[in-house]
Amino acid sequence: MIAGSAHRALLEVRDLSVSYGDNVVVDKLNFAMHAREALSLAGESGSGKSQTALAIMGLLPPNAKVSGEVLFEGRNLVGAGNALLNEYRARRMAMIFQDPLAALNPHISIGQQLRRILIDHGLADPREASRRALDMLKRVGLPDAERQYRAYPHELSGGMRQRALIASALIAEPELLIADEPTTALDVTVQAQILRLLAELRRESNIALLLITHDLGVVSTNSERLIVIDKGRMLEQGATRELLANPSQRRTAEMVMAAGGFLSASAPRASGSADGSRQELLEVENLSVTYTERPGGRRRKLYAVQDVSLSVGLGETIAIVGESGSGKSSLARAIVGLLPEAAGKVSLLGGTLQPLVGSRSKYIRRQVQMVFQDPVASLDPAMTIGSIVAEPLLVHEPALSRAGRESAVAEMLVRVGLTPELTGRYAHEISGGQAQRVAIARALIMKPAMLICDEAVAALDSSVRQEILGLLQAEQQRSSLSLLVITHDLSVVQQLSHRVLIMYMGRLIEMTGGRELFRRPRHPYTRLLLDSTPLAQRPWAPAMAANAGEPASILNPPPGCVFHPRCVHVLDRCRVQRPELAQAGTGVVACHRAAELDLSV
Amino acid sequence: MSGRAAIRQFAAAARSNRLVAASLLTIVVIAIIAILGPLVSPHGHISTNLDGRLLAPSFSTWHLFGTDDLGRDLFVRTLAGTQVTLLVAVVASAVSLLIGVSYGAIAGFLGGAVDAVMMRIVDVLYALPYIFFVILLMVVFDRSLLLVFIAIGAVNWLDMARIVRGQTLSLKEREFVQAARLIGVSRFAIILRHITPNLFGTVIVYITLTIPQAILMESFLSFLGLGVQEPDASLGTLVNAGASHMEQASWMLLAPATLLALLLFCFNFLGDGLRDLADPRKQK
Repeated sequence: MIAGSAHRALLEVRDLSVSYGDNVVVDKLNFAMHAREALSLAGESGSGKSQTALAIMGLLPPNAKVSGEVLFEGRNLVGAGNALLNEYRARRMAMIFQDPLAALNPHISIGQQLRRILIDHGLADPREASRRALDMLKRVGLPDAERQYRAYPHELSGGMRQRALIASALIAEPELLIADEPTTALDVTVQAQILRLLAELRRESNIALLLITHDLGVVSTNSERLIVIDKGRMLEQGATRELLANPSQRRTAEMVMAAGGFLSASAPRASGSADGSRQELLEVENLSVTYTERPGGRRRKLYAVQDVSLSVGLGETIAIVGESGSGKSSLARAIVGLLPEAAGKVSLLGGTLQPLVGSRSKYIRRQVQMVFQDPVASLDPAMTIGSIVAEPLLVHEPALSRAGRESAVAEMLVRVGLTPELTGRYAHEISGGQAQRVAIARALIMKPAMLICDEAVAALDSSVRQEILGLLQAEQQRSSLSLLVITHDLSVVQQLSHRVLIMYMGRLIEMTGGRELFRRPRHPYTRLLLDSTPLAQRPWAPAMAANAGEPASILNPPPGCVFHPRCVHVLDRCRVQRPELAQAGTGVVACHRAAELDLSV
Repeated sequence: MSGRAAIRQFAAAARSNRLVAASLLTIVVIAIIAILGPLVSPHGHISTNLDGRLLAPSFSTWHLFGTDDLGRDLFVRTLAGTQVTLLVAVVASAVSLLIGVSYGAIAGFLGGAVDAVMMRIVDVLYALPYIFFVILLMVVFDRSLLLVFIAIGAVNWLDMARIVRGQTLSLKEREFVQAARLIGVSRFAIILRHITPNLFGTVIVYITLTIPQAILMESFLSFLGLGVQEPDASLGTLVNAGASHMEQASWMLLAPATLLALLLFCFNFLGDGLRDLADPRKQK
């Protein structure tokens, strides 16, 4: 390396443009990174952030047209042949992807995948490569690294896989690591651990990090500088802290809002109606959902939801929060009657409901409606928007004339913020946000008493997410609709909910008023969730989140308290005796130590 | 994709893919000629002329493709054969569509024990040795064109039923079907309004791939003497007859064989093109 290279940029991107035919996805992007610097590239879906990363690595498909320069220590990599690029890949710059399962070769063991990188690049002989691969796995914090060395990708949990992928990216000691949405596919408590690992590795091994994300919460602790891009162009750039505190562009401000929702947005509303009178709409008593699994022919029962009771008042919003596998979606499906194997009782305004939707009366069916996570998948691709929204009327108001239906549909579309011109379009011809409005319109046209939103905004970009949440709130005020919001994202909860239920491995472990939960969580898991949620405007580095591991397998739940293997406050008693839900403050919590622990934020 | 959307896609496919457009056009032109040709020609397809046996193609006598060993005009016979062959294509696809699609959709949507029983029946039918089955039919009943259709239809709908069942299984788990259940749409209406239209794309592609199979099967049966009987002709029987006079009268083989090959090419190109267009991963 020549003298003075320290002053030169490690990576410099000059006028980089990427286009597919006439469609320009990256438009004259300029930025530079120095060695050991951490830079974030943030933008919503379709902003061109991933295309930029792929262009730097030379991984774009052949039909992409790339112009401009990508200078790695002064050497232009745009248009370079594969032979040259391969000298740089892995050894000088490496990349990790959103989906570690797709990025790891499924039929080669983890250790082999790491070893091969060293051997193929001629960096080590086979024996040394094995040793270094194992060392690397230990460095990324894989527990029981010797065993994981021989494991195949599908045998690892999501967090472990991402650790293994990071290990494979770093094993050849590159100077630049590009992380493309490295934690988007992970649960929030696991995300916190991976982010912390990246920060640690960067400190230890002096690599530069280019972090690509849509989530400004992730950015705040992991980068010094931030570039926000929109529609392929740079919107603004600056020091991360300053930019997050004073965004100059409206779009950035929206993204900050979305990520920091629960510190900056309006406070959650008080529970129940003003005069204290409260009428229960939906009551769920001791609901359990089981699935029968047949691994290797042996029948085995899987308890997705166990013994959950809850009630939703008229006009109330209840949020159910949990990570994947917590049983929150199964609970919602059992309530609406889409799941066959459920035990317990669901009643609506005092009347007990049949377990399956097919055997419920039309009147009951229209009272409880649901909005699904993937807006496009929940609309029939073969039907126009107009006929999708009109379908409930065909079932519930068959007497209505065609003209009457059409005007009702047009009115409904306007109410959810769409133009009636959309009626002739198909689902794939509209955006995700519009599709979710259509799904909401389809549910509301039946004038239901209750709307269940199963991760209804999880698949949407942050600015669209705010609009949909606003729409739901407006509808609630308009018609005293009860909302049951299922989410993994606490910032969604803050904005909407009167009461929050926390679920973990199929059990209800805490239920508290919305505001109280964020100030004074009572279950250690709730505190872990709060700590793990990255916020744009809050410094974040909790020790607890980093060491909390991952949930146990739902097929094999731990004895005693289901959370005990991850709990820092664990006692011997927690390992053998399951805590019952008990009154604590204004809510209920299932923890042996609820009374003595102060987990206030 | 609904009927309308499927037709729109079909039209878009024909526009964007020249091979698809050319294949479609060729098939249509052949069909028109096959229907109109025999009406225009002065010769009949079964009238023999022992003075004009094995004549080479010529314009002066209007034996455009020559004559066969019984002096019958090959142009008219080939076109009559093409009619039969295209009829086989239509019948095979109709049987596939009617029986295969509804059978598969019902099995897939109802699931459970009904599905298991229905699909085992399909498995049993699959397991029958096909040629024995046909020979048995021919022995028990009189040989006729209808029997050929039955024999081909009996096999063709099995594949379609399996494919449609698989598609239905995945469709019914999709969220829009669950949303319809929540709204209160009846099972029958869900199959009719939500499942079937979404099968359209797959079905249309699969049909275009089934047709050449059926045509080949008819030719094969006729070649073995199990299919269409003299004096009627299909492309298969004509190729058979042509093969035995290959050395004296090559045109007897060339004319029907070329037409058969052309049709098969066109249907295969059409199917391949549509399959590529229906696969979102192959769309640029």
